[in-house]
Formats: sequence, C-alpha cells, structure tokens
Amino acid sequence: MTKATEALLTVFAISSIYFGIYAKVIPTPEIFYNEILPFLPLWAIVSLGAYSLAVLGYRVLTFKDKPEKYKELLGQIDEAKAFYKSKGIDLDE
Amino acid sequence: MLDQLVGLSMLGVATVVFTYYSTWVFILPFVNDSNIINQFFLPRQYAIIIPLLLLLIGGVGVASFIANVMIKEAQKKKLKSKKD
Repeated sequence: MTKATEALLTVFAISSIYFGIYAKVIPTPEIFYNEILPFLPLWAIVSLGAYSLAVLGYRVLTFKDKPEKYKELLGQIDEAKAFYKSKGIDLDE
Repeated sequence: MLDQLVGLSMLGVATVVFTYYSTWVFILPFVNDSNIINQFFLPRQYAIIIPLLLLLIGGVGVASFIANVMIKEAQKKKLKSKKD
C-alpha cells in the first residue's frame, strides 16, 4: 500500500466518523454538538499548520552547520552544472 | 546565531498559535460568561473567520507566485528565441 493510499484511507476514516457524529447517527452531548463539532475541521488544519511550523523551527534551531560541508556542497553544485552543460542542457541562471 | 533565532521564533509562534486556538475552540464553550478569561478571546465567530481568511490570503499568495514564475519563464523564452 502506498503512502498516498494510506493517507487517503486515514482521511476517509476520520471524516466518516465526523459525518457520523454530524448526522446524529452517533449520539453526543448537546453542547459538544453545537459548540465544538463545527470547529473541528478548521482546528485540524490550524494544528497541522502549527505542527509543521514547529517541526521546521525545531530543525532549523538544532541544525549542526559545518563550513567544510558547505564548501563540499558548493563544489557538488558546480560539478552538476558542468555535467549538465556538457550534455547540452542549458540551466537558466 | 541569526538562524537559530529564526528557528526559535518559528517554534514559539507555532506553540502560541496552537495553544490559543485550542483553548478558543475547546475550553471557552465551557466557561461562564462572568469568567475573566473571556476578555483574552475574541467572539467565537472569529475562530472561523480568521483562519479561513488567512487560508484564502495564503492561497492567493501561492497562486500569484506560480503565475509570476510562469510569466518570467515565458519572457525568458521569448528573449532567447529573439536572440537566436
């Protein structure tokens, strides 16, 4: 099963539970139904964005930088550019 | 040094946004109207309006960036074909 199929299955399962609660097939307390349920999808999107931002921020914070690795990366980029130019593909600059 | 600051601020903003929004959605319906915590939060309609607005603005930003890149590419192609 591919990652995409797995993700789609998860989304489908969770949204089916959500629609079950929304259509009152699954009984819930009144205050939960009126006050919280309408906000849940948007809350999921907001927390996904916050989680992504947090993971990015943490990885930027704990990045171990080394100057020689930077030079090595620059050398690899130049090597790749020369390779493509030799093969005839023009990379715009 | 600067990038660590950027990373830390990203982490802080994400935490603040998450806790504020979660409190807004999950905790506020259960507090009384007389509780002082209410003064920190806008009326609950804004809990839907603000994220949707931000999503819309973000979508417009992404679309305009893609359009910009496509226009630049077309211009470069035209310039190149005119030069040849």
